[in-house]
Amino acid sequence: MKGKSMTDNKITQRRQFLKSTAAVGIGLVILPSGVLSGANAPSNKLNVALIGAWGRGRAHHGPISSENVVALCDVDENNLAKAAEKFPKAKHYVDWRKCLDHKGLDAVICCTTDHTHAFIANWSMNRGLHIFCEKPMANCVHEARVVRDTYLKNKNKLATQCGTQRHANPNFNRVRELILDGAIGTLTDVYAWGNRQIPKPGYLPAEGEPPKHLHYDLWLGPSPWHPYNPGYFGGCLKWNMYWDFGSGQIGDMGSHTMDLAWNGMDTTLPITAEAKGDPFNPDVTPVKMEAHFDMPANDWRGAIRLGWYQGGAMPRSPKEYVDLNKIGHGVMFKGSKGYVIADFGSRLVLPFGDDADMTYYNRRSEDKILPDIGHFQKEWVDACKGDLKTSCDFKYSCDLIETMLLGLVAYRVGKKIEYDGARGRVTNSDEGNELLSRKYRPGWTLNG
Amino acid sequence: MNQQIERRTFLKNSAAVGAGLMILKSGILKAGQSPNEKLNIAVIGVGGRGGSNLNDVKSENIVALCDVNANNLAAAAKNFPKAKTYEDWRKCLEQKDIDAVVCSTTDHTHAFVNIWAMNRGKHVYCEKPLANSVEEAHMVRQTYLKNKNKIATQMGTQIHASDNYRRMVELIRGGAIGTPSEARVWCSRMPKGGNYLPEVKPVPDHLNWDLWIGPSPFHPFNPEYLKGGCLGWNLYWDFGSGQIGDMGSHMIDMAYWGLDLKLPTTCSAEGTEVNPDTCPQWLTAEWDHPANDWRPDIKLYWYDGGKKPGMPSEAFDREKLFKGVLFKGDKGWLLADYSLRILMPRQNAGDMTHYKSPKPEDLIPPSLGHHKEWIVACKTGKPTTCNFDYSGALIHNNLLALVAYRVGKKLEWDAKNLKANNCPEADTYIHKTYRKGWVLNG
Repeated sequence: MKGKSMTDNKITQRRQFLKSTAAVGIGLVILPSGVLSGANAPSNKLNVALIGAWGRGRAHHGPISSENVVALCDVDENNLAKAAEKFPKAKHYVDWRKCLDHKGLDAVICCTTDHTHAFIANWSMNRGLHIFCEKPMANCVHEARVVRDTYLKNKNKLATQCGTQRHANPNFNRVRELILDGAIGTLTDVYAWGNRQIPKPGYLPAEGEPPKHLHYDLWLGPSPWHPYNPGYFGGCLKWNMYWDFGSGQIGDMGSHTMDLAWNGMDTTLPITAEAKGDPFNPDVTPVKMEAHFDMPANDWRGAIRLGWYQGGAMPRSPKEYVDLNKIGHGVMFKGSKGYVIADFGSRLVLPFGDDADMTYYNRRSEDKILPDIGHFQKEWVDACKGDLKTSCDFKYSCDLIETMLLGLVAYRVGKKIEYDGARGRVTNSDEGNELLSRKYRPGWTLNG
Repeated sequence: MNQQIERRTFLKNSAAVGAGLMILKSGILKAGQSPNEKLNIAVIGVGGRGGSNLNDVKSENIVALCDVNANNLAAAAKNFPKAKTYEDWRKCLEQKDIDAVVCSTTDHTHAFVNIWAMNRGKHVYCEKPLANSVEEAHMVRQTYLKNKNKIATQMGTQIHASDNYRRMVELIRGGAIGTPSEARVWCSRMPKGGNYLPEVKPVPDHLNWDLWIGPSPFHPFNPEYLKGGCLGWNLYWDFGSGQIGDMGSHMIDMAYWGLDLKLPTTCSAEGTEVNPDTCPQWLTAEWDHPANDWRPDIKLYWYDGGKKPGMPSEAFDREKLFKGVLFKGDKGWLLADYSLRILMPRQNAGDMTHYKSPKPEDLIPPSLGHHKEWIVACKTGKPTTCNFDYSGALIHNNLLALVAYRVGKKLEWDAKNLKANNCPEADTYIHKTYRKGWVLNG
């Protein structure tokens, strides 16, 4: 942690208080009457800063209203005004760096543009703040690595959650159980795909002046300067295709869909990456692209191949009767005895071949069924006050996005790259190493 | 006759040795025979499916060949010069040394050949469907049940022998979809409809058209009836039962085995406007099947002529699923076809704790082959998978849909007495009337 201050001490004191009261609260909640005053007593509420107060931030208005939203931050003052109707007592900020100095904060919810996620995640954790960050966690491999390192240093103190809220769908657990219990024999390949196609020719030309309520320079934040154009505004699909602002569908739906795959693989970082797709455009990420990774063995399976397909690239269906194209965002696990095909809410088991007789399937008993996560945001709020454990903490989420972003590096290098995940180095391509990180504007520090 | 009895007695006696080995496990065996002992088989209908079946039983003594088409007969006889040849199956069945009969005639003579053969103590392998009316199916089944300790029977639903069917049944019986409640079966073949064909003269010399017509009401010859295999004639009421008789035998077999179905208690159906000459160009049907000791009552559905059920997953490509069966239970669905099984657990109920996956010793043993299974059964008394009890009930069920379709009513069905209690007019379609001189139970 950097620059331990009076504020930090107060935060620590407050956090200790929250923890001890939480312990009492847990005892009360167990009673049949359900949620009792202990857990939700005013003194036991988190003091939360909502950074990125509108757009995706709105999705948090409801869930976080159980806590004290003490700070709202947005580069658009109109958004601040709108969010203030819900949280009238919160103080307003336009610069998240200032917002993080707000006294008495416990936790941060980050719903900004993708190119600022890693910054806010690091800064928050460095200040002892729990953080829920919208996906994707990072905009380049290096950022993912730094966020993970920061988290791992603080994991005994902080609760983190990446906003892949579909993870709470019970289907995620059911798919994981099928794989772990051997429904398809020995896992050999995993495929994930998404069909979104949002082509853009390039950065937008200068057009007009930023409106008064918009702090455009702060919107750009650490990224290289691009002239204002109103076409960048109106939801993430207006900007997340541009290299400086996002990672296209890799980071967008890819974060969700790969989560469904990742959850059934128990993997660390890839050993190799290889990708192909649309011709390279220096301004925008590819629409059509596929990336393939060699993933190392773990304690329950051998090495496997992982594939990501987007924008029209698709894995082959094992049976013509199954049209994978009808599954917009899906995953397929291939094992020695068949396939599991799933989307966010449903799953298919396709025993393959006449000898796929399921004798190898180790059905789990009811007491071993993976427990429901419940409400995804609430899991994090509870973790902040309790055991700090969440399903999509920044170790899990940064491993995932680092892999996906490495796919984009391989795509740009145009050959199969070998990757040393422990050191974060591409071992067979200098160009690949260059592309692991990106350049920031002066005055912006990733790990501040 | 004496010779035949002696031979059969011999088969049984020599079988006793083998039976000792097998009776331990199955408990229902009657006899066994040295594998080297060959059956004397009469093959009735030797072209088309008949030629294929003939090939599948040629390991045995082929002692008689019968066909109404002299060209087919001559071609088959070339390969089996010792076999006697017949054009009338009734004459053929008089041959004394026959142990077993393979019947691959037109559908409207199946029940006749089956019943006559069983009445004469012969084992029977018969192409599907076993019968051309509910009454015929019932009588074939009853005749078999009377003789089941003496003869082996098998309906020619040869895909039943596949491992895929076995794996499908194991999934259902293991509870992979929880408690089953329904099965929807379809095949997209499109019967062409139309009317009996106008007469074309002359009947070729090599064809005994009168015998081809057999027990059915007479229709003049037209060569189109004989083009395209069974699809040339099985759409006409007097010669077949459309796609529910044809592909329905194979496909509804999957539901029958998977769910252990017997006879329905209701049936309703709809299709294209009723045509007095031909089966509907599309047909949908539904049946209620009563509960048994391991599952509650079942709704069974059939779709043909392009109709298909809705799919629980968009990923199941309805266009490409030409045929199939979709089982539904309280924990999920199972989609299956000849070489396909896909399990779809219900979103929030399918954690699979309900599924008892099989141990290796629980697996349904592989078939010896559909024909081989029957041949071994003839010699040893081992069971067949599609005997006329099982398949008689299946065909009874299937053909009842055509009765419901023709009367346009949901039938409250008394399967034992062959009566639709709420619909006396159904009688017309439950029973067929035959040409003079033809006796079903002869």
